[in-house]
Amino acid sequence: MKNNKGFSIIELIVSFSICIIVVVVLFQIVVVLKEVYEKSSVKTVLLNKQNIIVNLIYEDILDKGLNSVASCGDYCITFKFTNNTSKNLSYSEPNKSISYGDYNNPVISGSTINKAVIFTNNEVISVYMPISHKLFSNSDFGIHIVHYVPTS
Amino acid sequence: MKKKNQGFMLVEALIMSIVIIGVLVFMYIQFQNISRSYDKSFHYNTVTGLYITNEIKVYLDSNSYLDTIKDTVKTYTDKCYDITNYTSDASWASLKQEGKIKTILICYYENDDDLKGKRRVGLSEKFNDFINYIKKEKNTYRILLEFEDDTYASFRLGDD
Repeated sequence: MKNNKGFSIIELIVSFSICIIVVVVLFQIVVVLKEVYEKSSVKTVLLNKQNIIVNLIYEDILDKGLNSVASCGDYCITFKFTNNTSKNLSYSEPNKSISYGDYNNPVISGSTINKAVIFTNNEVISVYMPISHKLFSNSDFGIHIVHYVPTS
Repeated sequence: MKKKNQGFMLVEALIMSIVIIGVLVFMYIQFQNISRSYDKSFHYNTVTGLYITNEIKVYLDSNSYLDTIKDTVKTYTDKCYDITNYTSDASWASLKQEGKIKTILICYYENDDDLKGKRRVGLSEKFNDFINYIKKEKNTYRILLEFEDDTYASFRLGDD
């Protein structure tokens, strides 16, 4: 008697091919999601650090009034306020941390801090300390302060 | 009658594949929405951008430009005034240069029609997306900035 139980080889090949394609697609999705998750965690931390320091500096500027800024090194800027106090924004290479006044924050691994740039004319003071990260080549997470001081 | 055993596994595999692919497509669409919102949160109303916008406002206030601009913006059909090159003053140029500002807009939202999403001619696609994204209120003025690093910031300038 002829036995018709079982599956033909073509059915098996087609079924397995479809299953393999679905598994490969799922695997790719998992890999992409993992990369996005890791990148977003790092980006969030970088932006949080940037926001905290920018907030602290602008709070002082708005509270005390900014008189002038001066360089105290390649990675150091002194903010001088109208109440005759001053605070330093600086990056310490040995400690791998950025500090503003008493506030200190370690930079995350993979970050690159570049030399600070100061611009002043009569009424505009600008301070820029660029910070980049190897995962985000086109993004900047630096400290960027622009302040308008009306002379009239 | 003979029981047909042929073709069963292929049909099953096809049906399951269609179901799984359908679920994957749905997940991908949802993921794209989340990814877009996540991207917006990093580019819209950044802390640095908001403070620089405030400095622009201080400049306009100190030089008594703001009231004139508010009166002018009401006369425009789309009630948005591009003040990027409003003055040739050196401090204005320095603020734009140091702040890495691309476009500065003052808009007035008078009625429900002004609050609707529109595509304004002369502005970039992303800036238009930002303008349509932010929450606006009737009878208010807004300052909107577009920066060179594709970030945007805006806040209310006050009521009419």
